[in-house]
Amino acid sequence: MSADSVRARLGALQPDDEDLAVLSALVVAVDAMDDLLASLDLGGEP
Amino acid sequence: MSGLTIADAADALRRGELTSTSLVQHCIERAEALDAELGAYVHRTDALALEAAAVADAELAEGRDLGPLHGIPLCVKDIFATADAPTTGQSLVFDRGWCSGVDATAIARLRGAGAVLTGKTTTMELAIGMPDPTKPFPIPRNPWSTERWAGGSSSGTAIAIATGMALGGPGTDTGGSIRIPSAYCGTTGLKPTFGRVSSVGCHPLASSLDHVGPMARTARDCALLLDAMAGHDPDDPFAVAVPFESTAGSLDEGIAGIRIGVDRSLLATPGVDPAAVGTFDAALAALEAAGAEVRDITVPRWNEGVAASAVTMFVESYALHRRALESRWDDFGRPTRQTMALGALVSGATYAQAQRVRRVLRREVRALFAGVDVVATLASGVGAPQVDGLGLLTTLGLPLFVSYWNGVGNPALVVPCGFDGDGLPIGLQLIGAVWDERTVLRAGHAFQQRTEWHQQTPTEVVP
Repeated sequence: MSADSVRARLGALQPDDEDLAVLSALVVAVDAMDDLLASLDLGGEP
Repeated sequence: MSGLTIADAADALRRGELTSTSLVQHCIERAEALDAELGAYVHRTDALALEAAAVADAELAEGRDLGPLHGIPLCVKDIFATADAPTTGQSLVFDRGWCSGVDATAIARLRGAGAVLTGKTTTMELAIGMPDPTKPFPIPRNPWSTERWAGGSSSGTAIAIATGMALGGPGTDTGGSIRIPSAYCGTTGLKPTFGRVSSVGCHPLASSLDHVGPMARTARDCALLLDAMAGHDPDDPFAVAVPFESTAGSLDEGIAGIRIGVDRSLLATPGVDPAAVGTFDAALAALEAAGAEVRDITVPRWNEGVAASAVTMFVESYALHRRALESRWDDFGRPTRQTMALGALVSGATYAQAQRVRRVLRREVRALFAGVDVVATLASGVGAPQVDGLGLLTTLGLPLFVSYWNGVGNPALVVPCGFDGDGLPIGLQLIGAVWDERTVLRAGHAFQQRTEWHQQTPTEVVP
């Protein structure tokens, strides 16, 4: 994901370039967690 | 005196071989000699500790015995409110007026049991992130190798225990913050069941994952601390009114017949040191020799549980600090603001799904414990990493086996069980059924009765 896309997702936060580089690398892991959790069929679990 | 346990010190106090004052003076001398290099304390309260020790000595001399913690020097992680010392959260953005002049419930209970507080110990900023050398706070360093990290976030307390600057203290654990520093520093620490110990007056990080628990040299000492701290607190919205029975009283019952489950697939996690696997297998053999039965199990949905805990920590910490992150970004340490900012990258639907996963896992883990009494894992698959250059990308890749248990809330004890290939301490983690700290501590105590890892001290670095 591009740094600009990550910056947009961060809303009002103001990361510098070094922060943005780390967050851009980690957004892949966060999205993978999202995919993993979303893939679970938990039936009627509230 | 530096390897002294709380239990040993309590006995020596009553035999007249030590005084609380001499114990506190020893801790002060150790801190004077070592702490500039190790970074255990943010704020020491030497004069107040000596005053409290003198009172304890007088009370014990008069026969007013408050129990095994009476006169024992304990240190306090710097996110607990204490009436007589500032709380900083090791952060420039921390509200210095928060809980000013009052003790957290756990601290009040320790004081009520006669403990003497030596000061406030280092944490990672706001109990999350990693040390940031650009901020005006001590950098905690591992007493076994000062080039290594002490682990976090209850860093300073583990350092102080390992080096004799204190005999124990309360820690907090949201994703391993009691157990990781205990493992890295070769000490013992217990994350109790979620809701067992009040978190009132302890600055929150991620409230549905935050646990308050004891840290010390041994399982016996952790039991003594837990017995003092535990108990329902109606002011804590996360506390649960479940009866609590002394854990110290059952330690010597042994573990004959106890069923210990092991999920060996976790040992194949990338980054696990073969030497650590060797220490783990030797630890299991010691537990078997004490009468336990070891059997293979599968921990349900391990990866999903780790992800659910991570998502929860990112989102809840971000929610708590969002306004400050928006207005004072540069005042946060870099690893702290980066970790919390991950919460902004998680959708509401993902957070809600993570909570559904945690509820399902609690049922599945409860079913797992119908077949075993304890689950054993490594706490970390390798010893402490280098502290210089430590960042979020490094630490998120470490082979740690702790955060899953925050998401489900089960009690988890870490005891030292050997060393990795670099000579750094390795911790054995023993997890129990919810509310069953007694069995976990009994297993840890039985292990420590048969091994000497908990008696090791980092003498090469710390004379």
